[in-house]
Amino acid sequence: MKKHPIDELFARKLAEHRQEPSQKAFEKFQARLQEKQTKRRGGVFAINRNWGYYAAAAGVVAALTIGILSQHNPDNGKMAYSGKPTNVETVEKPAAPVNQDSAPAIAGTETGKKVNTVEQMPSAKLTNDIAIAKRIHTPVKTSAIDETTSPIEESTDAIAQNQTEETQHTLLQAETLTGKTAADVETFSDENSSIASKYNIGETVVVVITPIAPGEETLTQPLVETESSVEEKAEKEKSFLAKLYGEYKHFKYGEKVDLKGIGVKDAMAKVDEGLFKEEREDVRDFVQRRIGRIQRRE
Amino acid sequence: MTRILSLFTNEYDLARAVQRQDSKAQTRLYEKFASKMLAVCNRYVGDKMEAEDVMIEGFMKIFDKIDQFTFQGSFEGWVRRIMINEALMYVRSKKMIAVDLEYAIEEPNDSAFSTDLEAEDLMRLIDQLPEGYRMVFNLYAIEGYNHQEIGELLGISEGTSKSQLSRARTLLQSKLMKLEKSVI
Repeated sequence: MKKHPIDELFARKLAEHRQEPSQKAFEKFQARLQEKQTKRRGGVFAINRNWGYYAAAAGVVAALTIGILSQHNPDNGKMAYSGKPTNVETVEKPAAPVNQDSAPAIAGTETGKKVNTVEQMPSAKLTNDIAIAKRIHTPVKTSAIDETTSPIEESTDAIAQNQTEETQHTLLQAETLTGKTAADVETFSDENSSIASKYNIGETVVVVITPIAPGEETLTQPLVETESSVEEKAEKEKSFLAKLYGEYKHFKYGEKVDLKGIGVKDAMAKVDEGLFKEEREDVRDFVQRRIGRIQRRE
Repeated sequence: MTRILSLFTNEYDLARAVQRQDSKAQTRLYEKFASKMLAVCNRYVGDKMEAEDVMIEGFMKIFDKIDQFTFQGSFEGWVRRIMINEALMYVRSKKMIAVDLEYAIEEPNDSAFSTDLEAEDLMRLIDQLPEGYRMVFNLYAIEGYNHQEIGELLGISEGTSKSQLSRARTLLQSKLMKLEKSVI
């Protein structure tokens, strides 16, 4: 539409017209800006006098969240080293009485450092067998014990590197009062040992491994949830739409599609017009092919 | 095209910085647009001192509403609209906009108009218009709003907006002719 000549004249001359503001206007602007920023720095607390209530509410929400999360994750630290299901209870005991004879020897070899010593004590719970682990200072390792205590050996080796050459490896020898042989201990430990994982330099940690009678295994096994079961659980909790979208992605990338697995028995080739064209065609192809296959099978 | 795009990019960069409430960017925005926006405000308010106050309020509003800018189209256009709204609010709050319900009896001459008058002279002519005429003429002829939009902005009917525009044109034309004659 043609513009009126008066409109055209004024628009041409005034649309981009400029008028320089005075210095006073700039000062006013700066003052207003400053005022605004001071208000903002006060933030929510300056503007809202009820901030105490909001803080309390936030605290309650945080406490509830922590509570819920901790209930969902009851195993916490125990899970750390349980790569496979185990039925062995791990108990930490103060090692003072056991280590009395060895402590001075180590202290003498080190330059003021304490050594991490770990002892492993197998004992049969039901038969009241008591195994007392006793550390002996010997330069030769017993192969059977060496195998059973390999995770611990690593730590003692690591510490040994910091020591002088005189430092001897502290090995473990199990003396069973009930006549269990070292071989028994070895085989038992290979299957069931669970090593207490958290120890620091300077601490003495005694690990007592207690085998559970065969009858008890079934009771103790569910304590540890494997990674695969967690994944399965997460998979089950997925919504139908999420599963369907997953199957669609499988189809898109040429992978195997299992529509029946998510409970889809039949599908219609009807697609929302609002979808993007490419996506729409993909979905249509996908649905039509699946229907074709299902019909062929039937 | 590339120049327009780069202009927009620069404007958008400035807008993003203002969104972060960066005080330097806010001052930069003032320096960039103040002279243009003062002219806009002055066209509606009719007094430079008052127009400066309106403009400063407009800038404060821009800083408050900057998150509403969607980065589509011209940032300057968005700034301008806020300034116009601020000016209209000011005029409304100060005094009632005179609304002449009479339709213009005499339509202004449609022939092409050329003048050697400067922008300042034209600004003075606009200032002399009655309030209602001035608002409608500014919005329609210079900002490019249509009568429906003007009606919504000013709270008047489309018919009233049309009549105000017609009257404004007639008045301006006669004043222009007088001015041209006096210059010659």
